[in-house]
Amino acid sequence: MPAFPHGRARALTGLVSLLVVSCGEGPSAPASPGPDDDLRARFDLRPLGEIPHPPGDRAAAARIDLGRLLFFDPILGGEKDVACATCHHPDLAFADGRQFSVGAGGRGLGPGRVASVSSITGLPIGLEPRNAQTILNAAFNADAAGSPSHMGLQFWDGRAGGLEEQARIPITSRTEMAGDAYPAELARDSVVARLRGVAEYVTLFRQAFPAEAEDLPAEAVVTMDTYGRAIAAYERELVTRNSAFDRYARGEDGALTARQKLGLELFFTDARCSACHGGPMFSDFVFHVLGVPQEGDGKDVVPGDDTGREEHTLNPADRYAFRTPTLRNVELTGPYMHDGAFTTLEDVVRFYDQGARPRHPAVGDAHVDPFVRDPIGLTDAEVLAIVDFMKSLTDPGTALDPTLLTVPDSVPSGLTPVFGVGPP
Amino acid sequence: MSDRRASARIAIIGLVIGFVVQCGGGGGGGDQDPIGPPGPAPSTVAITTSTNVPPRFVPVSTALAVGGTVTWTNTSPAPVRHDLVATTSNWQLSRTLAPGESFQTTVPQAGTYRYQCTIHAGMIGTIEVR
Repeated sequence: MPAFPHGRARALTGLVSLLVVSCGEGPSAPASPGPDDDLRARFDLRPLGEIPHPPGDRAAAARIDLGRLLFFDPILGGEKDVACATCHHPDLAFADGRQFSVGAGGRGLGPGRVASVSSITGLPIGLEPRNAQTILNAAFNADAAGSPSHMGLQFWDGRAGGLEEQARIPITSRTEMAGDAYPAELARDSVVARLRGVAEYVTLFRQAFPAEAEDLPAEAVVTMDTYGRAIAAYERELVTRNSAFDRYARGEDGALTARQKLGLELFFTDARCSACHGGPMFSDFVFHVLGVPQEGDGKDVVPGDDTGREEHTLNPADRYAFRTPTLRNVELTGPYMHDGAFTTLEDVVRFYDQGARPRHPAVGDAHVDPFVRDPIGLTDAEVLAIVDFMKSLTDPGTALDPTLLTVPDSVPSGLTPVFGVGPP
Repeated sequence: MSDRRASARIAIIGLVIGFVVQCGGGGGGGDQDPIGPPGPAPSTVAITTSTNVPPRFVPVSTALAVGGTVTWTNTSPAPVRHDLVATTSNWQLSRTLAPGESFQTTVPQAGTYRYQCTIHAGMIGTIEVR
């Protein structure tokens, strides 16, 4: 039996609807679907869902706080002059605004940062050969099965499964964080030893990992495992859901301009951007061969070149394939592509519009992804509309706790946050 | 609670769990349908599109006899359109389906044929022709 007679229930429903509309919350609920409802339905526009946490290991505040301190502490750098935040700084949308990052031995921050020499050996330390990606929303990267997961693939070549594993890799790289302080094989033990030597860190680790602290004495709770989980706990908080697109997807029709809506329509239809850049993260997290011209030294295997996913899998079928990056905050995270070959978003759209040209000389039409092989034929106005739509994906954290986006005044090592022994 | 009532409750819970499993709750890109054991493949295959989000081809993967016919039907609610674009080289497939619309083609040669909807990233399908 209903709690109210029908007429009264209807009136109450109407009143509630009116209140919701008056308060500006949620969709305006037109009597029949309008053109914006049509766009949302046709293209399955959805905001981000729940953060995928490791099962049974959702981090408490103590672990998130610890992760934040570690993230900004140059004690993780071999020469104590570089932190995670050096290349993933909150003022730069958790990227660095550079084509190639400058890690150990560098001076300065962001686009103005310059490479230098090791303070230990005096030898030059070169550039990191791939463009630094934003950490914002990396918690939603998909795993190998294609689902958003706590095991989401990280890096351009997907060589880390999950933020925990990702955090354990840069500390072993000479150009990223290790410098000439120790060889890669000793880096992790060295970082653990350093952290165990800081009394405040031992206390913070014991508070952040109470279950482990019950079984492990004193500093033994500081391990590569707990280190990675702490940084991942902080990074999983860096989720931004308040872009104009998000508001539009939630039903706020006026959140996008008319030109952005035109760009949206092109993005999902004629331009076929959505073939790879779809879903709430605007990425399929699949590895595609685009044939982007190679710039810089490339990674690891072939000098002057970068064979992408193949460098991790050693499978020739993966040659020159790179993981589709998210487009969230793409306005703030240029230059673009794995090697930062393109300076502007307009450059990127024109690359696709011309059938992935200019092309890497080793990537022919038979090898390049079929979705990008053929010219699209966009007008200049359409290119700009697509770019404008991509700018609607910008939200560097306007609704986040500001503490998460703030460089700590101090870190337990006593080093200068972010810069360490280098000049701030 | 009586034993009979407890048994009934357990049976209902089991039924619900079974229903959820049957419906493939959870979705995601990893829910590839099994193509099935080796053996005679059907000469006709019907592929629809799911009504849930994110949209998927149903089945995601299927077997088809050489020379067989595959029919796609857009069964997603209006106004959702899908397109069918081959991602396997040397296979000409490029077609947009309005709500309710179908498209039929034959596949004359053995092989694995992949396609996707470019409107909805992750909406991919595979036909194993044997």
